[in-house]
Amino acid sequence: MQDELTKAIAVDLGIADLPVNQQQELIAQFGEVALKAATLSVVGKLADDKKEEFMKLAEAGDPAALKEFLDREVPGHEDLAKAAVAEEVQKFKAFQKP
Amino acid sequence: MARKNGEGPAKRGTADSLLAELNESLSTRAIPQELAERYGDKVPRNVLETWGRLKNPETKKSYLARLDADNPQRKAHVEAKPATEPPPIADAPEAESSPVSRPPESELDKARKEVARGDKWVLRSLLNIYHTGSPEEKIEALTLFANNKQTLDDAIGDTQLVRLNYFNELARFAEAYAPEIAQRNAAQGAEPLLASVQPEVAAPADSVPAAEAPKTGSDFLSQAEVDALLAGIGLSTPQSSADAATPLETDKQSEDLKNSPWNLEGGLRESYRLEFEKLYPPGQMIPPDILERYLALRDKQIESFESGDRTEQEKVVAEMEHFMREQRNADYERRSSGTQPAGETPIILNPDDAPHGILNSEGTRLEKQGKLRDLVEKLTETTRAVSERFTASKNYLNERAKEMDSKATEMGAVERYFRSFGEKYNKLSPIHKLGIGVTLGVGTAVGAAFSLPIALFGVSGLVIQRAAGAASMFLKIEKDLQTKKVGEKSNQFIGRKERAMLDATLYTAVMGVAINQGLELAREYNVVERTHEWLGGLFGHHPVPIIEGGAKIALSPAGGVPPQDSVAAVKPEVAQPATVAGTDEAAKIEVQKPAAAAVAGEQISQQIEKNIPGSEAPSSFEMPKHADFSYHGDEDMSVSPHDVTPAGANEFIDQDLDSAIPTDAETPDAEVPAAESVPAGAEEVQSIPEVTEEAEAVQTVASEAQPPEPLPVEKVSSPVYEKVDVTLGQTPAEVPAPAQEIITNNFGTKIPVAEPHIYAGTEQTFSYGGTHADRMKAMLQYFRENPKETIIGADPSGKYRVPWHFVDGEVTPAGMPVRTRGLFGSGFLSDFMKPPGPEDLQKIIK
Repeated sequence: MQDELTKAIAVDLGIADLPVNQQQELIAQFGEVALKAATLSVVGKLADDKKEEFMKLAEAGDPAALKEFLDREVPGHEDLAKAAVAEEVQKFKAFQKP
Repeated sequence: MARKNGEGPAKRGTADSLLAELNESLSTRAIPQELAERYGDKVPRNVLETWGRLKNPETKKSYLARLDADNPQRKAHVEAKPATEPPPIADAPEAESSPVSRPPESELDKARKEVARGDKWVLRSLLNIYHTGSPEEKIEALTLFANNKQTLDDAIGDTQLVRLNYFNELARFAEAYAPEIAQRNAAQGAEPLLASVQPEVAAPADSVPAAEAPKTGSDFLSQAEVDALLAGIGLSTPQSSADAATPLETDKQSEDLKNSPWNLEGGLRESYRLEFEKLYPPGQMIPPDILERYLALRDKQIESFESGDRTEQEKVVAEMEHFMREQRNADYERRSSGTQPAGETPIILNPDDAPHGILNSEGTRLEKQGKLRDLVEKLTETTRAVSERFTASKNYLNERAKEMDSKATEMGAVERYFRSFGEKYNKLSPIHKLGIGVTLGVGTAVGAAFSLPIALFGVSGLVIQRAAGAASMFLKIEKDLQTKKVGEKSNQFIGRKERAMLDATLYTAVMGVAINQGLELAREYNVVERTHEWLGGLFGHHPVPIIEGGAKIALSPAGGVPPQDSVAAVKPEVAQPATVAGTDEAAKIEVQKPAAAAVAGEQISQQIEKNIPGSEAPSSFEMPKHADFSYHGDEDMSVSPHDVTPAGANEFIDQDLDSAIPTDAETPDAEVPAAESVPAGAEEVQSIPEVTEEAEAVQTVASEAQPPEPLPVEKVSSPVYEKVDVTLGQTPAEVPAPAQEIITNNFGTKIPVAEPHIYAGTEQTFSYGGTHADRMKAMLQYFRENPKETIIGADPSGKYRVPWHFVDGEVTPAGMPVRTRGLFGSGFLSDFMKPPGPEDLQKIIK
């Protein structure tokens, strides 16, 4: 399963031609960037006091509570985050092109 | 004299006949007066030839002076002997005395000799001359080839390499230059160039008659040709060539040489020449110093041969041998280091033997080495480029991460969170990092798994959650997945994309709970199987499995990973009449308090639903508001053999869940309408139709109810089988019995599909055919006669393979449904085995 996922993501990121170990390393590194980008895109819509609350929920590690919070405070947060990730994917792919 | 090529059949011995003709021709030539005065009737052939090449009177004069100076005795001998007879041409070795003074032997000269010998390898020389020589030499080489084509063809014989590489090439070129060749032949009186060849094979002096006719200019190279040939190899001018000829001494000397054991010297010298040419093939640049040494040694060798000095001969031969040894070693070193230029013998001698894809022109080792070097260089470049790209990509991502941190700093409140974010992320295992990428929807095929909260949980939650928290979180997610499954029916297949999403969702779920023994937990809790099943239901892959009986989740008091025997299990109703909940199976669903994590799972499922093009939107589970699915602790739950929940475990189960999930206030009421209970002690399965009808009625009610938002129901379901007590007339869900049909399988067994029978398999005993109730009845009868046996059959849903045995007069599952070995036998991603099918049945037992 990991191989299949790695392959799918590597294709999406345009790094399928690299060695598998390098693919995995880049995917892992990209995950951090993507997650930060998605988080920032959502957090950017929050008021300052809500940002603090978000931070606590995120650190608490309760995805359900966090989702509930985001549903309430940032309508359409899923689309925002997804767009941010997609943008990062596109940027990374563009970087890969010579 | 020499016949033209193509005239008459040329045989192998043609060269000899040519030589005879040549000697005859030479013998009939007139001896120049100047030479006759000095040599009488036996003028050395080389002297005669050299004389013929000299056109300048001054040069001739100088040459004669040199002849006189070299051997006054000869002059005296000549003077003493009357020149009454036409002087025959004596055979003699090459008379060069030094590299400078002797006229050099050009490639064409050698070629002529080799053609005269019928040496097939002359073709290589001719082709080389064609490629590297001057236009005049080129035409001359082709003319030589064309005029002796048949002879050379015969000489080649079956040597395909020479024919393909040289002969055919020369034939092609000769054809192309046919007009020029014809013109040259016409200019030379249509005489083959062999006319000027001096064969190395000596003709007996006595057999050569005296020349009668004067030599024509066409018999010898012109001065310009000599000049060109000499200049071509960087040697002296025609003026000095007059010094070249060293006349053979006397007849006696000649005779002595013939009788000398060093008569083999000619062969020895020839072997050196061949070897030298092999080391430095024609057309290849020879280092000047090497060439100079070689020629000097050759000259010394000739001189020693002529002088008859055995000591000198041995010394020269030793020097030559030493020289050749040096060249061999140097050649070996060049080949080893790969610096040897082209020109060696092809590895693949026969082009027909060349492997597919290898051209004949690639057949030399050095060429292959060169190609290999090219490949290695390209590979190195590619590797370097990949490495550079990888490094550049890493740097890019590092920079992007820093930019994100900078943005977070601008936001103020989340700066602290972001500051620790990178550290936490780096602590994750590669599998988690990959999972985060999946969860964020990176990867086209798995984009449906997008979930920011889950991904964030993957970073922060995994670091700070205790094992108990993770375990309970997992259970909640897993239960929610099960909830989504309920009520889904369709006949759709899981397509490729759905399969990818299935993997992604599984991965996300596994990752979400994968703290320490996460994967073990996932396996322990059958998350893979259950999620697989949930997705199967979601996509209409298969009907919903049986869920019967209340379920209890067992966790260790300490919140750690529960032991295997405390894993949540389904406790089917056995002793008491079961409360029938609405699905197509008789099931009693225990309603737990809303699971917080279930919402996250719901999000995943919603994303998946949205992203499945063309898939039938599954109906969500509808919970009647008045339904009562609550678990009543005072219920008398008999424990089935497969119920592994230890006594007393319920306390900490409830405690754990209560602490981990929202309050009751958030939980909508849900009631289950009273379902008719199956009377206790009901016998056999006659009551099934009635109970089934009740189940359908409940299902109808349930489907009309509106589900609360958010979905508060946390149902524990399992693909595990129910415990069926046929003596109580319990009402298992029935897979519709197939129509009357008899299948003949590979064993030749005729299997009436609609009839329950007990079959023997290769290693096990199976029940197959009819409805579940029919099979239970058949098994009951069989167990009464064979109480210690185990029968492999289908579970009540007809979906899983379950072992059945006989306990206390009841047909009871003997364990969990049989599973596949999973991924690489690890158990991970294992699935439940399908129920026995006709392919398993070897013969009917009962």
